[in-house]
Amino acid sequence: MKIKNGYLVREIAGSYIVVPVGERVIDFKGIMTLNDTGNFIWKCLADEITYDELLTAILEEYEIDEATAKADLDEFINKARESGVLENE
Amino acid sequence: MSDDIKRKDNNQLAKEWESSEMTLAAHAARRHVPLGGTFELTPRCNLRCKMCYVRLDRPQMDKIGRELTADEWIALAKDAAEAGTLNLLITGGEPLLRDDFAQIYTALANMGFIISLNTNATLMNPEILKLFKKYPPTATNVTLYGASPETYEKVSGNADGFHQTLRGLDMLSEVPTVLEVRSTFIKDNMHELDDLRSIANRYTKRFAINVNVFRSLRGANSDIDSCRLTPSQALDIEDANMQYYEKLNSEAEGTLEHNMEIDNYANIKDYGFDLPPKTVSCLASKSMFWLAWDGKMLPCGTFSNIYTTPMKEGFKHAWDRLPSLLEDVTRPDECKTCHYANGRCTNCPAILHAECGCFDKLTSTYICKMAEEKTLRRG
Repeated sequence: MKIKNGYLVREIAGSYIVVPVGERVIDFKGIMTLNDTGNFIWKCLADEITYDELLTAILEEYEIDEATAKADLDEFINKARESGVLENE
Repeated sequence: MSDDIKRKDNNQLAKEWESSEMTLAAHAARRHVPLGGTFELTPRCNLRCKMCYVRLDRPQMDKIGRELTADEWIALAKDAAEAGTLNLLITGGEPLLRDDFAQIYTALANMGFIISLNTNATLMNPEILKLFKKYPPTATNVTLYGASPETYEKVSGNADGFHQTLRGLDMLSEVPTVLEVRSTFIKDNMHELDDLRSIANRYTKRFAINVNVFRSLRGANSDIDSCRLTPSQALDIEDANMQYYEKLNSEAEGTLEHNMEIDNYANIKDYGFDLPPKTVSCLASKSMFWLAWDGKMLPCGTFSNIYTTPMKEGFKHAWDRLPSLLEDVTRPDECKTCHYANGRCTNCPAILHAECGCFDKLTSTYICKMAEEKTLRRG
């Protein structure tokens, strides 16, 4: 998995907001705000990474159990797919 | 993906932004983050609308100051982004009149702003179209001043402006942007409400009306005494437009009614918080700023003598200092206790200053008569 080029995550007024840049404005399908974990996952997705690698990264970064990490990750991936920000898988 | 689908997606995007901005704007205001900014790239315009509050000829402009260069705008945009600006409105004058528009726009479009553009569309050409197709503004607001060359001549002094605007709208229809057509009404075009809406609806369902015309600012010299509507005429237009949407008898279509003033007041109420400076009840200087063509930072475009100087003191310092300038504004005694200050009059110091030339004396009754007429009709 990987985030498409053409997006910036901007920290504005205490929120992480995904904004399309330049040509990406044409096909960005919705808005996306990220929580801290979301922002961490987004950064990991700058380069190609597998689901299992992502899960490991989250567990290393945050002191949470695997079920919670999985739930967070699945929620993020669903949101990202709906918004169309992931490269074709 | 077809153009229609793209357009629908972008409409959805804008709708969601409109609702999410509420929360974000409140967050931003509480933290004094300049979330929304306007770049007024020039006071010059190829049209010469008799009610325009801001237009300057080059000789008039040269007496007052100089337009910022492209590099200066781009540097200010970087500072604004750094400070937290997300929504950026590009306006003028007519922004497309600048020879270096493409240079400025291209840089801004790649900085992570949600860009809106105000234009009269008359200067659209294949090069600009290509630029907008590559980097579409999220929203594009096109002013339409008349439904015929004759009306354009009367309002803007340029009969050709009518066909040039339609040609511009044709081109903009190819751009995946949320297109809105906006008409300001004066005596010369007040009979054309339905025609203007019909023309607008050929391109977009978003048609916005404005009947509020105030005196010119910052050295501009409009001729509003000869052309602006009486409060009664202005509200006739608003009522007729409201009735049109009501008659459609469709909830979806009804929500498209767009009266720029009413929408603004509703937003203020919806924010539901009260932050200093309390002399302004909107978000000006709290989470919004206006950078005028000569680099002055104003709370909004309707102010003229309340400003800071980002080119000299730095963007952040200019922004941080802006609200303090409004603390000392003294309002007329009549306004402090006026029972129309409940939304029938927005009680806006900037409008008051534009009308009366000062903040503390009510020397014009136009604003009061408008509020009185609104109360008579709408309670």
